[in-house]
Amino acid sequence: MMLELRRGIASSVDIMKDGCFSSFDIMLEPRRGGASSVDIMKDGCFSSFDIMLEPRRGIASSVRGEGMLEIKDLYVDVEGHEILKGINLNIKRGEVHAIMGPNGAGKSTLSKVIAGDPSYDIKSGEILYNINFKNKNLLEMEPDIRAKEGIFLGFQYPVEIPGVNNAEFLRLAFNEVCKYQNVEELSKEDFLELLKSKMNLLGIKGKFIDRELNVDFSGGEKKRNEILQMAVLNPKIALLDETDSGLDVDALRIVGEGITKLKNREMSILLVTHYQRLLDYIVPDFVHVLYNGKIVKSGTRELAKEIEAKGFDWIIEEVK
Amino acid sequence: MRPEFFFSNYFRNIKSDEFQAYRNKALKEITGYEWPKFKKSEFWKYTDPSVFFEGIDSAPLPIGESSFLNTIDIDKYLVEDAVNILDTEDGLLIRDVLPQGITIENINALDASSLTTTNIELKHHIGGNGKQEKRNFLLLNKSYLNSGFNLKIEDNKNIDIPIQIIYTKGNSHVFRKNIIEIGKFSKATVIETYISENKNNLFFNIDTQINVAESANLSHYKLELSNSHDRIFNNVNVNINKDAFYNNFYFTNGGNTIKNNIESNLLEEGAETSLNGLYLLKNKNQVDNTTIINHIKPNTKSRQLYKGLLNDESKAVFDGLVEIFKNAKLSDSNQLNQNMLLSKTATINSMPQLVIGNDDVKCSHGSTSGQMDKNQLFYLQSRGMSKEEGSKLLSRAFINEILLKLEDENTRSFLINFINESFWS
Repeated sequence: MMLELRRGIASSVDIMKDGCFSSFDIMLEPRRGGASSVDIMKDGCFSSFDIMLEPRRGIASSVRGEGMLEIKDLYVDVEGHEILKGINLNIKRGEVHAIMGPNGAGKSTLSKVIAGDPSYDIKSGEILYNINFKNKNLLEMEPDIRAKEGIFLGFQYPVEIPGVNNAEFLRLAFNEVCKYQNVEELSKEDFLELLKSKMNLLGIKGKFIDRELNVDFSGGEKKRNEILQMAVLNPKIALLDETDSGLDVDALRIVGEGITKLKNREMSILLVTHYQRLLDYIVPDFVHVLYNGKIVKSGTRELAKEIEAKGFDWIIEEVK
Repeated sequence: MRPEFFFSNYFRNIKSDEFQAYRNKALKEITGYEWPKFKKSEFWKYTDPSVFFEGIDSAPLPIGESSFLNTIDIDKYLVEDAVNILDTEDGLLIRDVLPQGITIENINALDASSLTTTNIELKHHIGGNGKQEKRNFLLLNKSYLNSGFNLKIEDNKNIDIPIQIIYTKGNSHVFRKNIIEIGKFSKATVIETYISENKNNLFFNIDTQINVAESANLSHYKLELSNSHDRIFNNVNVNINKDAFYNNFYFTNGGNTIKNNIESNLLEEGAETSLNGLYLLKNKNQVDNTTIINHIKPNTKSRQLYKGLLNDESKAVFDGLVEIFKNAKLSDSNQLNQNMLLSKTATINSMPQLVIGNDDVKCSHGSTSGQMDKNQLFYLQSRGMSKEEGSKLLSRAFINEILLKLEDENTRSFLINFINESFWS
């Protein structure tokens, strides 16, 4: 199969050959999902490769390690109560950050504020987001624009919406993103194919894609559905808010392995969690402890293990 | 204002003495009657009756002089695969062959014979508030009666093709009576479609009387496709006999002022009714829905769901009464009214009421009204849908449940298309 270069969307494609990845920048017609065999010219010869094409946002060339999200001195109120009291956090492309902390510390607030939940009152501070190498203030963007620019929030409590078909909703959301990116929208049939390939990838079975969105879903189904949405929308930054809560061992495995499969070297993850068990699947580069609206301690994966063993009290004591 | 002064020269053109006598008798009964003032009775608590009569004292065009059909594109109002009957000021035009076992006659003031062949009075129980007020509106209907139909379905007929009666409003005020009678063990779907495209400030007084005989099953969809000028007083009275089922769907789109009454009488054991309503309002539309369900005998069942979407400065009223009579043991009733307010200036008054005359019943009722759920909207936005698209999706989802009550798929898709063009355009 030859790649069509009609549409001027540049993508970087990682191609595995003989056990090694090589990176190529090519222009191609975005075709989502499904592995394709592609002939690519290198050194004057065509070689055949199996590749997985993913929609990429903006210009393809990217450097691991560049800043993606920078939170500066963020103060947030909800209904007159100060929840976040000066958050500073810097997330680079491809990094995984875990936010841990006791209940009520402000963990969920942080992820919702980044996604743009209007029920929070931003008192001061800024959140800079790298869009094509330019830092934009995320706080000035509507929630849907943030989503279209590659921010995804996996909800702790996915909202039930009666009367909206799950698969149809996903297609509408996907096509909204396509429209924004000036990419051709997908028909029902094509989208279903994409959806099925994502479900296969994630090892997700079940008929819940044909049901009403999250309505009467079990806890595990809701979280799997969140991960499926993430797979379809292919974000640049995934904010996963207590994605492991309410999951039994099997569901945790599916969700944990699913996130690992979706994580590519370009995707950054901010993982909000109470426990370290999800971190067995997704190894964090950094672990932060949020307490009383502030990040009071940062460390590596070892910190999460320490917390698992000893709880948060010793950290809170340190702060006092 | 007194009704006899509405239009003094209205009686021209009436060719039937019998028709005239019928009207005179009713007119005599309400002569001298002072129309109630706004808020002076429960029945007119939220809707000002005088609105119906504003500007009406000028004589309407005599009926029969304007054929409205030529001016509108009737085809877009036809439900697919239904027998379409156009009920015009010139009479009934049946587009297809009527299925066997159905007869339909026109009630027409210009047709001298129409009254003699037509039984236009069915006896009904009348309950709830405003008996007198309702009665007088119905006397007014008789006094000026100028149109209507009488539809009969014989016993033991399963009519699987829906019958759609399309009523095209003309240039005159309308006093209309529709009769539907379905015979024992028969089944049918009747769709009444009211079209209004002209901008005359017309008054419509429409009385529909229905009898559902033993073990019959009638689905009755009333689709009011109004413009923002219409003033409508609608009355539906249904008798449901042993083991019979009456399923009603009432769609109201806009309207200057609309008062819809429906009264469903579960007369005998095993009788069952399902009343469903959907109203979509914008601008200064006003709809007042009054429903009454009378569980007169034991082992009767009723289901009721009314949903409304209210935008701009529109107003809606839901006044629903379920009455379980003293000996109507094992009655089973469920009533729900839900409203979604799309603007801060829209208002809803919702009053579900239950009067229970014995202990051995299963009844529930409820009402919810509010703005769109912010958490749901944010969830959609977080997936890339704009606030506008998300709102649209949520309000569509809100009415999906009630649209599914339209069992005839062609009617449902017809209505969805209409809503897309008129409400969400």
